[in-house]
Amino acid sequence: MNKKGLLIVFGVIAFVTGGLAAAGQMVKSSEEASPSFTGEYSVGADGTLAYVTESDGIQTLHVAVGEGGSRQVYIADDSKEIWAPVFNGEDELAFVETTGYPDAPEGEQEFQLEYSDVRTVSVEGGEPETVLQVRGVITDLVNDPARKRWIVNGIHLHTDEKPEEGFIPYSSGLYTLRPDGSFEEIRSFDTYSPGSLQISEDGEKMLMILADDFENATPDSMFEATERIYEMEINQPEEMAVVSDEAKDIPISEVAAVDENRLLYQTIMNWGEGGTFEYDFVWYDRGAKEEGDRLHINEAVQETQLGDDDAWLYYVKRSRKSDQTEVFELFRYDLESGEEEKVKLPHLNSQVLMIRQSPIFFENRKKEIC
Amino acid sequence: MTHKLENYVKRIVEQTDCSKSEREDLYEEMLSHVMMRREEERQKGKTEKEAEEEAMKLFGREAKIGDGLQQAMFPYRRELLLLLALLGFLFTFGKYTAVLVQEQTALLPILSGTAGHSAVLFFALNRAFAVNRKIWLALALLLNLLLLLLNMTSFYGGWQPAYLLMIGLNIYLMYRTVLTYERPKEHKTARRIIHVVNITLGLAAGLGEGYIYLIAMGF
Repeated sequence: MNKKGLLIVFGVIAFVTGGLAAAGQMVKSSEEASPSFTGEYSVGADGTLAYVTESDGIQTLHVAVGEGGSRQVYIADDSKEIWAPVFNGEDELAFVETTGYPDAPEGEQEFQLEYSDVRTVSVEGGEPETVLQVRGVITDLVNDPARKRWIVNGIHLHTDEKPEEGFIPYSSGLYTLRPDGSFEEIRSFDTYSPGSLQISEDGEKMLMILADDFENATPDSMFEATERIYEMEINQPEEMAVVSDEAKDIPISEVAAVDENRLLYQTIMNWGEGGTFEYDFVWYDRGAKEEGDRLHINEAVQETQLGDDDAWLYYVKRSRKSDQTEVFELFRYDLESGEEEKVKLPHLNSQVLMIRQSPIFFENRKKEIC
Repeated sequence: MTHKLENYVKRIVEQTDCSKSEREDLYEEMLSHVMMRREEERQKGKTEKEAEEEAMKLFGREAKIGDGLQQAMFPYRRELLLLLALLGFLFTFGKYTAVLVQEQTALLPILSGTAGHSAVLFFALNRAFAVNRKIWLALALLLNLLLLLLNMTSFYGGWQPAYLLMIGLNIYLMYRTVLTYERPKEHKTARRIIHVVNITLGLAAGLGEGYIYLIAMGF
């Protein structure tokens, strides 16, 4: 091919490549500006849904209203994230606003340099109230309506003004928090942080998932440890009883207490068979210590909650796009019919402008500037 | 008038993938053949211009002869290079567009692959620029291979067979380009062994480093 031919061919290639790159940039900008679900949500006793979205790096707490609508009730500061929203009755939401996990590399965690606040806000919106401000990272907030308090789970939490200096070994703790801001430690854990916290109706006991070497973990034991379900009496926190079958060495990653005797937990169905792990939820009879039928969700889920009088199991599925960005989707499973359905969160693209122009947004920005 | 014959032979030689020195040897050899043919025609009583025209006519069209020479040295290389470049463009643009439409995600880094595909395409199409094709083509194939490996995560799933085909074809062409000698060389076997060892060690070291990098990144 002569010079002219080469020029035409490579000109066309450059044009097509440039056009695709420009189209990609436009799509990317548009996607970043569109709100996306962060995986944080809560289901109220009456089935009302609260959820968190993020657009352009700003997180917003919404409450679903009516048919396919939503109301924004809080907008976080630029650098902060909204975690663990939880209904406090029908009219109020509590949530954690945090700077999140530290960026320090593994082994050099500096949780004491992070901040977390627990705030409450009306489901109608309006001015939020700050219940607690601490250093450290609050990871979970569980409502205890029977005792009118919350259970807080966090890493390196303390209320001192100055951060602790130097490297501090990883430790987490469970605390009680009352609406007046009183904050008391229940117990602490070295090495691990309990997960999938559940509180009994009378507020006396808690279920949680912990590795079975949590009381005396060593580097060797951590490789052999199995995640099990434990029950803790809040007034006697040092006594931790294993609820799941101690004879089984299959890790458990999520738990939901349907009633006093029946649990649903997520475990690995093909443990020891090799290949990709196949996760699923199974029923568990606490009295007989026996597993029952599986739900056939057939994939790993997170942030499990029971809703609508324990008729539905809500959970979040996490996947990755081709560019490795995470996508969270909310699903629910009908425990009677065995049907799974995707929960359609109200489409929020048209509300981006409204969020920007809302009084709450400007109020937050005014505070930032001042 | 010899200038016309020289240009004619030069155009023939430019159709081949020879190195500069090999091209000069080929040029000298072919020019002497054409000039002998011209002399034969002149002895038959033709004018110099008529003898030149007849000599070139008898020898054949430049592109056809050059193609013939190239095909004799390395059959189907140009076609294979074209196939590799076209597969590369097809799957790079295809994957990018599919992800853009289906996931509204712009895989911009994958477009870097077009640099490698373009380099390979250039050597499949080029008849205009005289370069040391063996070295530059090997480098173009290496660039294409590195960019394909760099973008390998984008080709997982249903795209994997096409990706493996491109990688295999690229490696084959790299070996074939480096191990093809247009003219008899001294110590040909020793050269072949050294080249095979060098390329294989280079590829193995690169793959090993890539594996360690992936492990270090937590994959």
